[in-house]
Amino acid sequence: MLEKATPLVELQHIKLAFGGIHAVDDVSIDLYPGEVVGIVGHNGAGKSCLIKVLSGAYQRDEGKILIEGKEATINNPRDAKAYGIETIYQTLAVADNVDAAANLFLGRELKTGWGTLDDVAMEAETRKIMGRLNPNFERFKTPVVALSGGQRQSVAIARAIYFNARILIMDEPTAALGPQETQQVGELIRQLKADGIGIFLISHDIHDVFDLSDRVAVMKNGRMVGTARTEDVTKDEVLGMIILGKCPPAAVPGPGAIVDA
Amino acid sequence: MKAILKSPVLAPLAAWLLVALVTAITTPHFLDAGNLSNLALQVSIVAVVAIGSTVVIIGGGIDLSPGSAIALLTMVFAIMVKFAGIPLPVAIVLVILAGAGLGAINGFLTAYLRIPSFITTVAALSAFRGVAFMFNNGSPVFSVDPNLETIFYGTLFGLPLPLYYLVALYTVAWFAMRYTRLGRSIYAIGGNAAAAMLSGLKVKRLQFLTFLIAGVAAALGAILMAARLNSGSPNYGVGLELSAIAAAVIGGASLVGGRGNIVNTAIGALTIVTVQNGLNLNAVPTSAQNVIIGAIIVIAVGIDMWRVELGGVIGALMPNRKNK
Ligand SMILES: Nc1ncnc2c1ncn2[C@@H]1O[C@H](COP(=O)(O)OP(=O)(O)OP(=O)(O)O)[C@@H](O)[C@H]1O
Ligand SMILES: [Mg+2]
Repeated sequence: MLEKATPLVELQHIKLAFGGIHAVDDVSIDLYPGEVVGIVGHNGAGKSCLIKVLSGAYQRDEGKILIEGKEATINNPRDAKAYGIETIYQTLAVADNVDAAANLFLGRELKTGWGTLDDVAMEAETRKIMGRLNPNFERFKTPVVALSGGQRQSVAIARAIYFNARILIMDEPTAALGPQETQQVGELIRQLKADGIGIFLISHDIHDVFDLSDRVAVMKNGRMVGTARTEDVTKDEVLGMIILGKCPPAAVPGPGAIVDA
Repeated sequence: MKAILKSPVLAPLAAWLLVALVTAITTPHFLDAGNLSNLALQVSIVAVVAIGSTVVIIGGGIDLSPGSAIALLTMVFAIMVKFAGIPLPVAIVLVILAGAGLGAINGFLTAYLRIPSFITTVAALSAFRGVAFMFNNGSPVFSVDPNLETIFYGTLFGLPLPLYYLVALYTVAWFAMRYTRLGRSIYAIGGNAAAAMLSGLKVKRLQFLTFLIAGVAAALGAILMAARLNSGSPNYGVGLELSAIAAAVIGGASLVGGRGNIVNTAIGALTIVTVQNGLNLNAVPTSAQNVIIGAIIVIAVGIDMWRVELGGVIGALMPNRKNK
């Protein structure tokens, strides 16, 4: 249905190796505006490494990144942010020693007319966005280190969505969240999607992925097994892709697919 | 009242008052006007250098080189003024630039070549003093300039000039660390460099800058030191880095990085210099003084490392503090 539009993001033939380990091996994937693409796979399949290439945290060895059809230069997180790419990292990259507002605005602080930090405005904005994400959140003045895992996660999510991302990467965004907050994040994803934001969603929860994603991409041992529209495949088929690398007929096979003899 | 109790200034202030009280009781001439003004002047050098130490520590590094940098910079300063005939104001600017240069060396090695700052600055501790001895055949330069001493001993409205320098420098440093993006970023890289990088901060450049700032602070300390003794010497500043680090740590700076408070560093400097002063007045030999300073640093760092456990103890002793 969206085939004719230009993809928001295209990753083409991405390779990333650490010494002898091929963390990402010839992976191609794309993402359209308003689309959620779930990336799934075993531990160590290379999901985080792949998206870190897009977020600028890792520099790829080979491959191209296209944003809206044009080749993009992404060599560090600043570059990625300049393209409107925001990331929630699996390891929650928050600065533990400062509070939620300082984290939200780190590197992009609001300033007063004097050029000094506008802590009042930053806290007010933080309260606003946290009110949407996690209404129970109250510890605005506490260094993030003293927050619970879920509270830290909400801070990381707030930071990613505050700056009007066009492309959102969520690496296990609900890992530390309770059922209620998980549901809120699901709501949020639907809302952002409706706003036309493209989302890469990495999750180990296959139900979540099926619930929220338009397409699912399966990685195994650093390679792409294949991608499929979630409505065209069953959970069992996707599990087969994850575990065996077997690509069902409804999926588009990648270089990592096992070709049936 | 609660705000005061929660204020981070309280602990270092209490520590200093305790130290001052003990010193005053045990030391006959501690409260003499002459000694107190001497104490104030002595504090100024440590306190200026400690600004740099604090910024570096907050940024997650350590700078062991300012004592040696000061030796080198007083020599450069004295030679420029006495032998090269460079006017004082120009020489002051040049010394500050030279200090920034020394800091840039530390910063470059640490931030860009990724050598831990403990190593780069301990190497600099050795090398800077070595270079200091290469000037003037390793001899001090005395009687540099009759006007030089005014920088240190001059007064304005009856108050010693160094007090004004301190207030000005600490105001700027406090403001920069508290209210500017640079300051906030330095806290962030010290707290979690990886997260700061992922947030888009230029971590290396910021690290580099902390050492540059420390170099400038050392240069300002060198100017005060040279002015105080109207001389330059390769032997100046021995152990000063430890006093400056102790000042930062007593003031609550965490050697793990990401935590510290410039204003408290001033109180920390006052504390450490008061201890030294008390020991001097009691004729405690330098060797024993060094041991005591070492012990103070270990205790101050220990208090930082055990703050969670100690917080529990304090909370138990003062239950009211727990309720907001
Ligand atoms: N910084 C690194 N240095 C060396 N090897 C790495 C590094 N980061 C990842 N790897 C390796 O790359 C491979 C892919 O890791 P990655 O983190 O992308 O897996 P993942 O699919 O995100 O797994 P998980 O589901 O556990 O998060 C693994 O073999 C991992 O050990
Ligand atoms: Mg991962």
